[in-house]
Amino acid sequence: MTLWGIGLLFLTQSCCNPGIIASVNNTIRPQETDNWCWAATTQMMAQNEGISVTQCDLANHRFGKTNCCDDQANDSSCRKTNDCNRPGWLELDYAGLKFTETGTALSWDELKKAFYCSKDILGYAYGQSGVVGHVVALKGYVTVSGTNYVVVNDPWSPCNGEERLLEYGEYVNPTGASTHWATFYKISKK
Amino acid sequence: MKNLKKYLLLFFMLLSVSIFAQTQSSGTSAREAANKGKAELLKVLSDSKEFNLGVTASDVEGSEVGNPVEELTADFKSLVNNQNSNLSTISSRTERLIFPLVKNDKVVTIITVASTPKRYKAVELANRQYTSELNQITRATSFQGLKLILVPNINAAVYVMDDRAFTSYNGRSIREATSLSDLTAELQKDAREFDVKFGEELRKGKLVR
Repeated sequence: MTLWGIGLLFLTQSCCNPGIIASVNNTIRPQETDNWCWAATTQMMAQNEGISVTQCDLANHRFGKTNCCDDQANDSSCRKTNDCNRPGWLELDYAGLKFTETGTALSWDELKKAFYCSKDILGYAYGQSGVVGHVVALKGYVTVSGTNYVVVNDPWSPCNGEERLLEYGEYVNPTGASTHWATFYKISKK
Repeated sequence: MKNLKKYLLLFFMLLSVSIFAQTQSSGTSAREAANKGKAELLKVLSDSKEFNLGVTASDVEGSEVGNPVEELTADFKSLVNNQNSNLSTISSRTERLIFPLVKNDKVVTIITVASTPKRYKAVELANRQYTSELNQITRATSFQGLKLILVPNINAAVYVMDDRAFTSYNGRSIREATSLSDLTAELQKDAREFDVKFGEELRKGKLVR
């Protein structure tokens, strides 16, 4: 890249002014077992960086197995073998991604810039102490009548998944016993 | 000393009245919050084609905010340890209410409302799992008194009405009512298996599913 190119990139980034809505194009990947939200979310974040990984490859790596890509017997849905049906954690490094992890929520401005300017897909994990939590992909935002919403690509339920809107305050501090565990951002290919 | 007690009592009484008044004056009702969430969802659907929320603006338009389903969460430790536990008695409120938007006798989508210290507010729009499940449960009762109990770790979502339970847990048909006590026994067995299998790993660090 020339000096002019670098300068132009710098100017574009520093002048980027997010609007009231943005959504990164990201195909939802439903989790392929009851426990694979971490694999499905890793898959969604990787695909946004042009990396193709399967959930079962991530599971094989995590659990040191070779049979996680086997279909679950007597099940015509997308489900993979129950032998690998275990909870886990995001496998971003193994998938070939660089990232930053924070235990506190990003500010609304940081979130907007991540989607609008950097076109990133973020990971968001939440849960309560001593209990298995959940992780989803965040893909955009919208402000409507003064309320800020984050757009979620949720790999739950298995073989379905869903896109929905989460009020920003709920992302920062979920209602009830759950808390914000981690946000994974500044995602790029290694 | 006697006077001090009096003053302290008076202070706490005034404090609680003030907090209550603050909650009442600044707060909207849960149904108002659901209506606000509905209006915002309608605006998003009307103004933008960027999102795939599984519902259209015309579905939401003209829909009515139905009776809320109260969300509770079961205490996993109690489920594992108490032999005679009943799912209802070991569950506590999550402070979330699930409001179905109903049109032509069909749930078109969901507005989830949470109770915060200051007010009720819509926190989640368009949850498809709950939409689908509520459409399958008989609505002869208009959801009046229906509760949703979430069981952590084994991920069971159980709708409870009196002593009847509706769930798709372990391949059940959510349309058919099952006895709450039978279901509790099965959940208890699975919870214990989970605890044996993953309890130690969970105590060492965070896991997601």
